[in-house]
Amino acid sequence: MGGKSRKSGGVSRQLINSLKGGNFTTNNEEAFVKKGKGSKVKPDAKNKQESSGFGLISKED
Amino acid sequence: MQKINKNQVGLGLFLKRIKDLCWVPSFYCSRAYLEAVQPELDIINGWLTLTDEGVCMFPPVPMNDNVIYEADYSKWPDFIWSDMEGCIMPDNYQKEKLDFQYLYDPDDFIKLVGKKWAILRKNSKKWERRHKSNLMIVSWSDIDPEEGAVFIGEWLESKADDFQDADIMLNYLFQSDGKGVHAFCMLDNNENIKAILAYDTNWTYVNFRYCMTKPGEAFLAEAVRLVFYRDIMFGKSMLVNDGGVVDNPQLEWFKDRLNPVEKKTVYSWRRFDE
Repeated sequence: MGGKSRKSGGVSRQLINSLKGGNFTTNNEEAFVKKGKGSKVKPDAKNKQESSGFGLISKED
Repeated sequence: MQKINKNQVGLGLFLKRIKDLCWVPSFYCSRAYLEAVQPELDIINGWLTLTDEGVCMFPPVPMNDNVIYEADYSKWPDFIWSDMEGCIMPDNYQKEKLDFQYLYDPDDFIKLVGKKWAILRKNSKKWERRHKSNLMIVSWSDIDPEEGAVFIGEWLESKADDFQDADIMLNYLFQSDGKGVHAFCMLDNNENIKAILAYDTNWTYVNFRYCMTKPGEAFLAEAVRLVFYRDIMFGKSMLVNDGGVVDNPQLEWFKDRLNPVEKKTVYSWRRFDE
């Protein structure tokens, strides 16, 4: 999972704090922009799929 | 060196040439991943190169067969980050281990038959029993991105310095629309995010790119892996390339116990003076 880096340095504290504050990037760490809530919807039951072990099956509740 | 516009030649030609040459694509060789990396494309004496952070990512790819016959490697970069099976390297390059690549067969996870699967069979049920919850699969695009960002921030914090290239992962997840990224969340019965995972494909493998699980919840990783292989990979005939271990012994131990059909070594190559 992920991949081995071509550059040195780990994840910056600034990036972690920014993410934990609900900010997400558009292109790079400096370009973090606070997005308004509700730009994407919380999933409702229709969009959920329950693990069946045999492919995705829509949840019926 | 002739600089070319990425839009003129593009990653598509680079990948097509690799396919034409019958090289086996590595974990890093997918359109979706490379779109997130945004490497620089150059042509050097007929060889196509992809460079990221000043590092040549793959062996240069001949634009056409004449380039292969001429075999002029003089302008190749001194260091090549990740090789690919089927690519024959020049004699004056020596290899260094980069990482592993784990290949899994989704069918194995549906059957879970045999003694070697006993531990996963047992452990993959423990999380659901302990938390009295199922894992629901939801498309990443249906999740509030702020909620997703908070989860990723907490996950990265738990990884300390063990995770690499977070910026690429964020590009991959947050700019993924229509670029071959298949991303999902797994929620518990209370609709809390318990995992974020994503995969893409090339012409040979499904690349299981990212799998983040809620930190501190024992046996969740096993449960999520099982749902991924049984449900999200159901019906796919390709093997899954689960990437490497990024020098993490615990991750290697975990992936070894998932019974890969193959554990390959990927190499970097460095020119030496003859």
